[in-house]
Parts: sequence; C-alpha cells; structure tokens
Amino acid sequence: MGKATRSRLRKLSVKLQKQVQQIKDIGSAISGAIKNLRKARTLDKENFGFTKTIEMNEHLVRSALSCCDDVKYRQFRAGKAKALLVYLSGLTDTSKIETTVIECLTGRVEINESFVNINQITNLLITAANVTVVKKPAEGITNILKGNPLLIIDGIAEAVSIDAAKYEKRQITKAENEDVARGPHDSFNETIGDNIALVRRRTKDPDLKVEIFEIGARTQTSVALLYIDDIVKPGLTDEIRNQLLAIRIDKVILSANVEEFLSNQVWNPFPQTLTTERPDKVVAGLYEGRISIIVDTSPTALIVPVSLQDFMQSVDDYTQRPAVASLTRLTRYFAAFIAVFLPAIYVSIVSYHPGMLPSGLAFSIAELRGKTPFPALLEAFLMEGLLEIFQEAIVRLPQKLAAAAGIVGALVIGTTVVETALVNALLVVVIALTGLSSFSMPSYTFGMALRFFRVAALIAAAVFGLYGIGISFIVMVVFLCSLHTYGESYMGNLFDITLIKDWKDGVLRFPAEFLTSRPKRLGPKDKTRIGGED
Amino acid sequence: MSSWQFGLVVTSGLLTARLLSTTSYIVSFSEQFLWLSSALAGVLFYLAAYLMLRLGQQFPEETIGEYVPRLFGKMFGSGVFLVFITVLFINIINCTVALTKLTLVFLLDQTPQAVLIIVLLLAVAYCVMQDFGTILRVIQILVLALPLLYIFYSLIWLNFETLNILPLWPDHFIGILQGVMYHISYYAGYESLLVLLPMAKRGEVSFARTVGWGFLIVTLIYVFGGLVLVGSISAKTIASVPQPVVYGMKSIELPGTFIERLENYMIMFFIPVTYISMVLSYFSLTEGCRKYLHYNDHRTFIPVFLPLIFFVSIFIDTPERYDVFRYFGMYVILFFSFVIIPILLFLVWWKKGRRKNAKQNK
Repeated sequence: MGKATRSRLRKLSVKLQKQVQQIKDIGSAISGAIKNLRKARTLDKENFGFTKTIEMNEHLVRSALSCCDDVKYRQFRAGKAKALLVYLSGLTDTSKIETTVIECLTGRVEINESFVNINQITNLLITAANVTVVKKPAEGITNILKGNPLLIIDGIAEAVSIDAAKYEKRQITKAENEDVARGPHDSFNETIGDNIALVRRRTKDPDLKVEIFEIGARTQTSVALLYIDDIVKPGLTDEIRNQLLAIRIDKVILSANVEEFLSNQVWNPFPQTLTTERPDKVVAGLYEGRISIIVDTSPTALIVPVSLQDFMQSVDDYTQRPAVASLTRLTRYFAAFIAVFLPAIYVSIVSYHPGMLPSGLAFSIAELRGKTPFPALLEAFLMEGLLEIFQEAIVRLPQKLAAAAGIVGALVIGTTVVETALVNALLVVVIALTGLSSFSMPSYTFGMALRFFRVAALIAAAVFGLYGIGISFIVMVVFLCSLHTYGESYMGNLFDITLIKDWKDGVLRFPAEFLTSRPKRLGPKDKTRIGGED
Repeated sequence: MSSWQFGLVVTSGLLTARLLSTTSYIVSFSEQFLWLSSALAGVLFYLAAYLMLRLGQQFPEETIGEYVPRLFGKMFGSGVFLVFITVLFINIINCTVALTKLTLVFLLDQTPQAVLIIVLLLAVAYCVMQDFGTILRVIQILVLALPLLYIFYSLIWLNFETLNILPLWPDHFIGILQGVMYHISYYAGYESLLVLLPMAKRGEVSFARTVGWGFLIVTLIYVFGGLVLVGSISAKTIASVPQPVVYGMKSIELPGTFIERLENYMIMFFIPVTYISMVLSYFSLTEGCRKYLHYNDHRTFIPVFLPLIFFVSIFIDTPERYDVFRYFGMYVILFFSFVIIPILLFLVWWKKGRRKNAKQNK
C-alpha cells in the first residue's frame, strides 16, 4: 500500500470517527428530549406515566428496565383487550401467576368482553390473595423488582400489582452469636416477613403494631417498626418514625446502615442501639416500652432506647435462678472493668507502685521483666496489637482454618513471644484475661467499644500510674453519663435514686414476683406488668 | 432533682481529701476528743446549711447572685456574691491541693504537682461542661466510692487500743470548741446549695430533712473515724505527723492476704470522692456567675476560672503559703456561713415584716 493511500485511509478513519461521535451525540440528545417529553406528561419524580395504549406502556416499561434480561414479558388476551404481565424471573412464583392471573383472564372472560376500569379485573377475575392498583409507574417498577408482577391491560391507564413474590431464603436456625444454654434457639433470618412472624408468634397482643416503610432511594429496602401501642412512651414512636423517614441514602443492605442514622453521636464508640438475632429479646424489649426495627435482608433487629445495663444483660439471666443470675451479672460488670483496666493496672503497678505487690510476687515479676528489653507500656502495646490482629484474623478465616489459627495463635503469642523474651509471661496472662473478659460481654459491639477505651487507660496509667487510672475511670463515667438515647441516659440511670424501682432488674436480678413494674426510665404508658382486666 | 437527690448531692461534696491533712491541726486542740469535736462541728455546720436553706427557700426560683443585689442594692449584693464565689473558689483550691499533694507523696514521686493539678482540673472541667442532669448522674455513681473508702479506712480498727481514747470525759472544753472551728475542712462544700436549690423539686420530704440525713451520715462517719484513728495511733501521734490517717493505714497488716500498701487503695477511693466536691463547687461557681450576669450558658465561665485556680494552687506549694491560705480560707468560709448568711436572713425577714405591716396599715 502506498504512502498516499495510507494517508487517505487515515483521513477517512478520522472523519468516520467524528461522524460516529456526532451520531452518538445526536442519539443522547434525542434520549434526553424523550425523557423531558415524558416528564412533561407525568407526575412529579416519575419516569413516565401510564397511558391507555398497551404498546406505549410496554415500550415505556422496557425503557425503564432496559438491559434487564431477567425481566419477562408475557403477552396474552383478556377478552377483547390485550394484556401484558411483566415479572422478574427468580423472584416471582410463576405457578401462582399462572393460576391466579393468566388462567382467570384467559379462561373466564368472553372473547368479546371489554373492560372499562381496573376494578372489574381486581374484584371479579383475579383470584390472587393480595392485589394493589398502581397509579404511579415508579411504584409499579418497584413492585416488579420486589417480585410482584405487574399486569397492564389495553385501554386502562392503571396497572395491577399482584403479590406473588417467591425467592430462596435461609431457614430459621440457631442464633450464631447469642446462643443460650436454656431458652428458645430460633433466630431471625434475612426475610422481613419471617422475622415479623417470629415476633408475632410470641405475642397475640392486638396492640403490637407493625409499620413498614421503604428506605434507600435505590434499594427501596423494607424496614419495619414494631411497638406496643399502649405501652410505649408517648412521642417516642413519632420521633423514631420521623428519623427513619428522614434517612437520605441510596442503599440500605444492613441493619447497621439504619443504626447509624438513629445515633445522635456518630463518633461515639459505644453502641446506642441494641442489636439482636433473637425474637424473644425483641418481644421482651417491646414489653418494657422499647421499639424494635427490623430491616429486610438483615438477620439482626435493632432495639431502642437502650442503656449500658441492657448491654450487660443476657437471655440466660431470665432462665436461671435470680441469685445465680445476679452473680453472673456482677461478674459481667467486673469483667467489663477488667477488659478496660487490667492492662493499665498491670503497667501502673510494675512501673510506679511495685510496693503494692507481696514481696515474693514483686521479685518474680522483677526477674521476668529483667529479661525483656522493652518498658512495660511498650510490652503492653505489643501484646495488645498482636491480640487485635489475631482477633481480626480469626473472624475472617474460613471455619476449616480457624482451628489451625487457634493453634498458631497459642504457639506464637503464648509460647514463642515469651521464649524470645519479647514480653514477659505475666503480661501474656494479663492480656489473655483481658481478651476473655471483653469476649464475655453479651453484646459484641459493646465488647468492641470497651477495647477502644483500653488504650486510653493504658496511656494514662503509663504516665500517671494509679492516679491516671482513677482519672481515666472518672472521665469514662462522665462520658457514658453524657450519652443519651431518646431521653434515656446511657449509664446515669444505673444508680439513680429516683429510679430505685428499676434497680430490681439492673445490676442484680430480683425474682419475677418483685418485677411487677416496667422500667420507669422508659416512661411507659402502662406502668405495671400485671395483665389488664377485660 | 428530687429532694432526696438534693440531700445526697449537697452532702456528697463534704467528705474530701482535705480532711487527711487537717486532722493533725484539729487534734492539736481537741486531743483525744476528736470524735466529740467532729460531732459538735456536724451540728454547727448543719445549722449553717439550715440557715442557707431557709434563705434560699424565701426565693425558690433564684440563686444568691440574683436576689441579694435585687433586694439590697447592687454594691452590697455584689460584695456578698463576691464573698460567695471566693468561698467556692477556696473549696476547689483546697481540694485540688490536698488531693494532688496526697497523690504526689504516696503514689508518685517524680511527677511535678503542677501536672497532676492540670490533669485533675481538666477532668473536673470536662464534667462541669455537661448539663446538670449528667453531673447529677455522675455524682450518684461516684458516691459509691464512699462506702468502699470507708471499708478500707475501718481496717484501722485492727490496731485499736482502748487506752488511747481515755479519759472519756473531757476536761478542756475550750480546746474541743477550738477544734470545731478547724472542722471547716471536714464540712465545707454545703455552700453550693445556694445555687443548687432552685434546681430541686419541692416534694413531700423537706430539704432540711434530706440535707439533715446527709449531715448525720457524714457526721457519724467522722465521729467513728475519729474514734478509730485516735484509738489506733493515739492523739499525740496524730498531732505530730502530717498525714495521720495515712500513717495509721500504713501500720495495718493483713496476714494471709496479698494486699499490701492499704493506704494506696484508700487514696484511690479519695480521688472520686474529692472529685465530686470539686465538680459541685465548680459548677456552682459557673452557674452562679451565669445567673448573676444573666448569661445563657454556664460553660462560658469554665475557662475563665480554670487558669486562676491552677496558678493559685501551684503558688501555695510551700508550707508557709499553704498555712496562710488555709487560715484565710477558714475565716472567709466561717464569716460567710455564720455572719453574712444570718445577716441576710435577718434582713429578708425584716423586709418581709415591714411589707406585711405596710399592707396591714393600708
């Protein structure tokens, strides 16, 4: 090929590229114009509006759900009129729509029959258990994407959404993170309907209200608000409902997405909602005057308002004898203290106050520490860092490797680190005890928050010894008392003398015959737990 | 807050680390009758608190900084308010110095006292920055350190000898009465009720009763504590050592246990107990100023007084300066409690009487 030819070809290809670009620009301009025309014809924020012409409606639905090959279009005749069923395969029960929609409209309608309005179809023909007349196209599209097929009839500018969603879901299983020795073992799954049913099974109270919203501009996730209408504090439901409806986010795929918006102090490490997998815990919370929020596709429910003592209670406390349960709770509070302050106490005593130890122990610690090159604070940070990394690794590892990781952790952290004189053996015991204490918390998120304060206490102890521990404890108490969730103080109600009746189910657990009143701090309308008369 | 909470709050600020360093001064006058001196002082200072309650109840919605200038003129009112805030100021400084000195001597040795003071003041300021509801809840939690403190303190009983407290009948009442005056360090802190009273709800139980119960409990603690201390280490020893309570604790041994240095545990529990008193006094100081100057938020005044408290605290680090400050503080507080308050109460009653007569004559 000659030079001139090559140059001509090059010029032609550039010209061709420019023309292709121009065509693309024209195409997008036309699409934009079409969108604008549609907006002029429609209601606010709608992509398009239903017309009386089925071909136009089909074209518009196909445009809105373009490149969605899992959306199926079933055309048929309902009497004289053309009909179209649009559904999502994989999320729709096709056998149900065959029997309740297609068979009814094709088999029971005379060939010359026509329809004037949609009610003729919904009231007389379709046998599905639940149908909704849809006037807004966006609602129809959302219902299709939820698994509810959309029926469009030629000559009618409305559509019908049929409740026929069916999809694969996880069976009701044991709670993975909140299993109890004695008590029910069923837990929530990812389906909101099943979760609400688990709560309903435990109470036949007509005052249990369930309000369902869609949250998430794109995901349109169903979120249920559960409360007992004649118990919950006046105004609390409205406040939480308004907060939920004010959430502006494009996706909600976890309950944690909603949880963050319910918190009034976003940088606070302590959880301000109680998350649970257990329906019995939700019901118990509802009957204390709390509100529960269940998010579709999430196996954990949220309970508000809560305080520190709610994170220190477990379902086991109510299945054991009161004396045993009280002792267990006291142990948990002690464990929470250890989880935060034990490494700090160790550092302060070995650095500033070795005289507080018996002489035998003091000498053996001095001997152990004499072999290690690092100061006590650095040793503690090293071990803390190893523990945190190890904890993260265990959570991420596949189950088959977790056992091996346990052995590695025990060998690496427990034995080798001591033998190589990086840290002393007593510190390993201290850190192990600290880790166990934080794992003994009934709430995983609460246990994580305690780890956050451990570092601050460690630094305070390293600088000021026991004085630093005292001050850091006080500052932590002040911080926790300053937190509020929906009017309830996070820690301040623990020993409030005006709430002395609530102490019966706080740090200690009194027998059930003494627990005749609901927690006063929640401000319930119905203050007594004794059932009402008919 | 309820009337019982009010009583708890006012009296929880009484017991602080100040008492550890003042006991030797008191015993130099009252000798082995420290317990009797404490009991009489309890009655006397409850009387002062009672007079303040009566004064405050004449103006249920106002603090002292609001009604005194209104009733008696700006100059006189400002003067009284100035004395009042000086009293609170002195309480805070006394607590700061006592606690940090105690910590410095028995817990730490190389850390400068100024650093300890800064840390303590910042922690106090953090609490005072919160709303009063939060402060109330913090106090109700930290006050639990008091029984734990007393458990450790009561171990001094192990060295008790009856001979040390004899004779039981006093032969020099003047000395006991002189010792009563020095008990201001034991009982100071009740003055904050002049600011806290408008925040309390009047219920079925009167404030006088709830505060009275609080004073009774604190007085009993001091009486038995004094009895135990004198019985363990004798009045002569107490008068000759700077920290007699800690000295008494040091001599305790618990055979068969691993617990050593019991005084360190006791000092640890003094931290929250003293902290409560400092928070109450500082909050009353800032809230009183807010009401006096008609500000919206008491937090405005927190950074105003903090540097002053710090610099005065480090200034009085020598024994001579500390003694001067201690005597100055004692006389100002006694003057405020037993001169100014009775005069104010009398003037208020007199004015009310005149108004009543004027109405009747009309």
